[in-house]
Amino acid sequence: MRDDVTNRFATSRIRDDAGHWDARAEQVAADVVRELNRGGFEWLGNSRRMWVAACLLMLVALLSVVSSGVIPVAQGVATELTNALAPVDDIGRAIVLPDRPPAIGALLLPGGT
Amino acid sequence: MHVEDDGRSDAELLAAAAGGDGVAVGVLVRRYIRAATLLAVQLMGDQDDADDVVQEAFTVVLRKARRFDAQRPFPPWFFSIVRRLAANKRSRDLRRARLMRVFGRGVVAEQASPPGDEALLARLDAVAATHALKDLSPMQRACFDLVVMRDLSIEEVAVMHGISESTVRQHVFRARAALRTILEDNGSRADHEAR
Repeated sequence: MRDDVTNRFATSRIRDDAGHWDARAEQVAADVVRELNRGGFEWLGNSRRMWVAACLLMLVALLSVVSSGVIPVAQGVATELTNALAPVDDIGRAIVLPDRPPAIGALLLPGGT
Repeated sequence: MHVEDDGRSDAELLAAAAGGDGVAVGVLVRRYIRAATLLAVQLMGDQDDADDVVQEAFTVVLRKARRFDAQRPFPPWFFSIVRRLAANKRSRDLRRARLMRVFGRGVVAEQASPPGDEALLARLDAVAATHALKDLSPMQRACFDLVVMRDLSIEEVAVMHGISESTVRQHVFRARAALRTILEDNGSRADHEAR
């Protein structure tokens, strides 16, 4: 592996006696064991890779829901919502509600379709 | 509580640690924490950052323990993880520092110049020694620091930095030669002044 670090700093300020390393080792080992014993969801929160994987999984799940026929339910809800929010006047309803563009006559002549 | 090294091989310790043996984790960490910390300090220039890198390295090692090939030596694998984590952390910190400069939201501390080599400073004129150490290449300084100052073996330093033993030997030789030159220059100057 190419090492991009170009500086090499001296270690002269680092404490270097057996007692110090014993204490550090004990502390690090305890922290490492705690880290490894943490639940999967906490680990997910700290891992960018796991976040990407979780997002991909959700996307796949969404796509499979859309393609498996659950979508008509969603479409029904959307139609009801459109109806509820549609304007009350004839021209507005002619523009919003039909699937295809409204006829010119419907726009120019109120009440005519 | 002091963890006694029970003489198990690195591979045995790693397998036991992966299986949840806390004592094995303690022994493995104790066996490598000194070298790992010295290496991380050399790479990061800051003890707190180095401690973070070392702890992360042990966590990564234990998380990936099952992937480790027990037929191969442990130290090269472990130190390559330390080096990679240190390099990643440094580039993240540099990016953040650059952003801070761009947005002017904080003052980025200048990295301290490498401190002088204390044992030599005791014998040499401080300014000359500091110059001499600065004149060494980063790897010469690093190898000199670990081999001469920290009593690590050539083999250990080679594995830690991921370079060959002969390269470490060469770096230490050149560093010693450069410092000896300074020492001799200082000595002859002192003699001349005494006369």
